Amino acid sequence: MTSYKNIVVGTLLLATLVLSAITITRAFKPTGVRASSNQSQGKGKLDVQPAAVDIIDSAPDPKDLRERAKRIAKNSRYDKNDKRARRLTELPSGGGAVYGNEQPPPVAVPVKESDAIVIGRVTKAQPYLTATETSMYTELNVSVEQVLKNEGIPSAAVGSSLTVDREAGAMRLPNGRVIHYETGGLGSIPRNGHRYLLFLKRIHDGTDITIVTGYELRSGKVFPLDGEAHIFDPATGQIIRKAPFEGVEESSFLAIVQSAMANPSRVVTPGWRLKK
Amino acid sequence: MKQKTSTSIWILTALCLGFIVVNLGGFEIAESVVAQQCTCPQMNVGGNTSLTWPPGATVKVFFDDNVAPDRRAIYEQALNNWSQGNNQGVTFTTDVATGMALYTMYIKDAIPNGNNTQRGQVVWQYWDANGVLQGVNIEMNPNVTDPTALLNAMSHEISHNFGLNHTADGSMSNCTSSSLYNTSIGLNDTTNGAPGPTPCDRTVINSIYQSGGVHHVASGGGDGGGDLGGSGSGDSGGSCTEYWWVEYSCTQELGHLRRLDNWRTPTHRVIAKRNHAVLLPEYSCVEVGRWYAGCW
Repeated sequence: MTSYKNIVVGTLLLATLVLSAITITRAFKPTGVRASSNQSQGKGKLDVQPAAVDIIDSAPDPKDLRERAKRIAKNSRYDKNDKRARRLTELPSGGGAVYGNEQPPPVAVPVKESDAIVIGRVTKAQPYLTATETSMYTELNVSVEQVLKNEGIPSAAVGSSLTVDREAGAMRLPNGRVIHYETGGLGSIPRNGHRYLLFLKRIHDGTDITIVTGYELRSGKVFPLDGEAHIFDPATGQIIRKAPFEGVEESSFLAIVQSAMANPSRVVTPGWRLKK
Repeated sequence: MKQKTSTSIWILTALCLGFIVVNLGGFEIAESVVAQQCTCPQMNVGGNTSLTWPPGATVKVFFDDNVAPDRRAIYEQALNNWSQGNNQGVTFTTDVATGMALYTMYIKDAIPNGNNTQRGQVVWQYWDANGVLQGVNIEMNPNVTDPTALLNAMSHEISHNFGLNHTADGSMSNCTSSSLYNTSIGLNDTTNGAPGPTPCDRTVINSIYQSGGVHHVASGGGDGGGDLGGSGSGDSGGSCTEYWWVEYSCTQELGHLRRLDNWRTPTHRVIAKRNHAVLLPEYSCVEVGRWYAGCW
């Protein structure tokens, strides 16, 4: 009789242990498994917003011969010279191209990588097709308000109108067709009338100035041009959006930049702002 | 009494077994084993360089003339793996002679963007009027000569067009095809990446496609503040005629003319023999791509 009692008690204990083990196992299930069961969560749309929010009419050819020659030369400098690339002008209206998908986004605070760091307002934005019409760049005029760093760009002076470029754009052709062009690793293009902090670098043997990265300064806060990412976490099955320094107070961000300038070897880690 | 106790024991045992079967189940045990062997990393997904093929798309794959047969066989193996395992009904076909090529992939052996530290790259992605991925051009580094490394590299590039970007922390992993490649380990490293699609890849791809995929969407306007230029986009509707853009690849000139791949780079081009009339070039062409051009 006692042995039967022992068996019953033993069996009950075994059952309890097994159930506990199962409960614990399910609670700490390996990441890959839980992801598939929670896929209904975190279903934010992943659609890509265009780099150029504003679609701008293509510019007519300059009438001045010297200006025309300059433009032709610049269009050649930005050309990819890829015979297999499609002409943007032959894409369907609304279509577009992106070049170079393995390029990572620029460093969030590229002090070392920049020849100049300025704050200014965009007064003009004009996209141009490159020589073979297979890529595009947008030329921006920036009215400079403040210069935080300047190593070799004489035109980057307070009160001046600085011409800078970004290899992306959206253009309406004379026939009404709209075409888009983007570069891998780069996010948005500064918009006409908006104010930005821009990290600038000379390229093409110093002939042109490109935007390494930048931040829009709006309502006392900063909003990055680049670095927006969507990250899938297999542990939760969620897709989370991140953007460096997004929504950080302008004064705090300027302090970060100035701190980075004081110690260029220091790597500034962006304070990622989560936004589902 | 003994009978009652014995019955209780059997009932309890049966209940325990039942719980075990119900809670674990053969399928989940198998998945757990897989997951324990390979922990899926956090992945960057989407972005303008990771647009997705539409579900059910048939992608026609064109190889450049410079792709050697042994390398082409490896690329086709990667494409077959992805045709069979992407779970979204996307198939890759090298039968380019028949049917309409609405979605195209062009593969060439070349140093990607002139950067010899990269194993491969989706150099161009094109989207159509609806923002849907329509065509890609891929360059594979000819200096990747190890078959496994080449297979993994091709798989990596294919994965980008299913919405997979690189690992979120920049780490390397052999649990996903789209693991970031580290240039320091060499072009022919075989310890990083995977022939894919891996279980981790499929988990992420399922999630991306359930989200609607990754497309390039039309601008919604802006924040309305301080716009001095630009204007909205949009195509007018109504009755119209549909047009298609057609791309031809002309690999060989006929008659007395040089081959196409020879006459572009030299400084001159033979257009006629001595004492012969000038000939117009004739080409042997095949359609390699077709996409919707709009309705006007």
